[in-house]
Amino acid sequence: MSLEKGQFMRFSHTLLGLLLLLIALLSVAKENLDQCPDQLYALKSGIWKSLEIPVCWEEQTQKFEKQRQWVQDAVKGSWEKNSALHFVGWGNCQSGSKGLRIGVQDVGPHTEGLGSELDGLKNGMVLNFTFLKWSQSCSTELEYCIKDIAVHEFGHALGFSHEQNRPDAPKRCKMDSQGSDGDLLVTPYDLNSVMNYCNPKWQGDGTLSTLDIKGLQSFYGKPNSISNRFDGNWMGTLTYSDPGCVSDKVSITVEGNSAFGKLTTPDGRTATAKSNIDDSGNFSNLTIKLSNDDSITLKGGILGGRTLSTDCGCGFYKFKKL
Amino acid sequence: MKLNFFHILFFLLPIATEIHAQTGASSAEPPTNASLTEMLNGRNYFHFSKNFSCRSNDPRHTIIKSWKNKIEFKEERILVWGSLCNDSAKSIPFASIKGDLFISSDLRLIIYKKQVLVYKEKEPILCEEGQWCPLKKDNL
Repeated sequence: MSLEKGQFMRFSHTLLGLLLLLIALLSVAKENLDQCPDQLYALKSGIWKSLEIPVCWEEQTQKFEKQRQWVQDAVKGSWEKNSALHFVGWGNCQSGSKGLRIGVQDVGPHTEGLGSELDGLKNGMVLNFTFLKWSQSCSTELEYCIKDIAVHEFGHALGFSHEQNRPDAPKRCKMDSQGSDGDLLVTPYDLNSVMNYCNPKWQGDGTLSTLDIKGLQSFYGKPNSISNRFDGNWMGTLTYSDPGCVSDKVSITVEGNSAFGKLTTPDGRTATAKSNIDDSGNFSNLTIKLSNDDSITLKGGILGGRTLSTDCGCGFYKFKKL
Repeated sequence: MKLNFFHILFFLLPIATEIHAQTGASSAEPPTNASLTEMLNGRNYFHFSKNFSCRSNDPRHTIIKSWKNKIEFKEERILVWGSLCNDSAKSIPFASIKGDLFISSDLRLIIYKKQVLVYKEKEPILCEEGQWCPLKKDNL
């Protein structure tokens, strides 16, 4: 009985396999419009919400101390120097460590995604400190390679995609198109970007271009931003005059002149948005979109103001610092 | 490609059959998302194309031999690498790709977005030196 059952299962298994193959072939034959590339620059969802990004090393060893310092120096002299960002920590990773987790292997340096996709991801970034197997030419110019590569990979870690992937990149550069694509064009096409494989100087010699800095600052602010007296986390509730509308919870994190808002609906949906906030605590309209036809806009300041909702109309809000 | 019920059905069923053949269970229920990601976690699949090469992001922009795609299953996500020279994988939540994915019952083959990829336990050796296989030495 069990043998018959086994035979039957094998037969059904083969049949299903054939069906699978047939469907796959039909699928291949069908034109798939979703294949159209959307190669752009920055991945909006990958932009970190916090300006303080923890960094740690996966290997629990004192090995490569000099190389680790080169990486830290390169990042400090590029992305940190030109923005309000701070990469903090740089110690050994623990289980559950958040932020960027860097592994060291003799393979092509890489990141397993863009920006905050890497948050807490083990070996989310991999750097090469020896180049004995991969790109051996770097083994004789370690500092140069390690520093320039670090600047490029940290660009990915901040959410920036390859410049040559953009639709407006010259044809000869598109040949090098690879990797994760962004969904946001921040600045005009930039040949001199550290994120451009077509840059006549490899990795831009680890120096951010003018447009790199402009793009960086549009997301992560200018360096040495004066801290805002409203810096911190705020929790608020929106209320509407319409009795059919349930109050939404909104949290806001203020960092310098940036306000990051997060809306959580009673049914658990969330949406985030960023706005500017001045030194008096006033927003320049903070609009949080749940979808194209479902959003709220806060008008006023962090302490309180009016709100406009697409489905609930007008209301008001109040925030309390946590 | 939008999520297609039949794609899910046909890629789940052979796996379910296999699982129940091993356990001796009498009914074939499709595995859950969690058990599927657990089964595939850590597995790497490759698509090869003869003479395929890519330009590495090293100081000499070396042209190297490469596989044509690699898909890595990592916890709740898949990483799509494209080529050996790619340094930033496309990270996609597993739950959102099922309509584009077929998996053979022995987990040795997948079809993802028209492309057939085979399972390799270790990174494939592309030349005697391993994976760093320059095809031209001059700068481009």
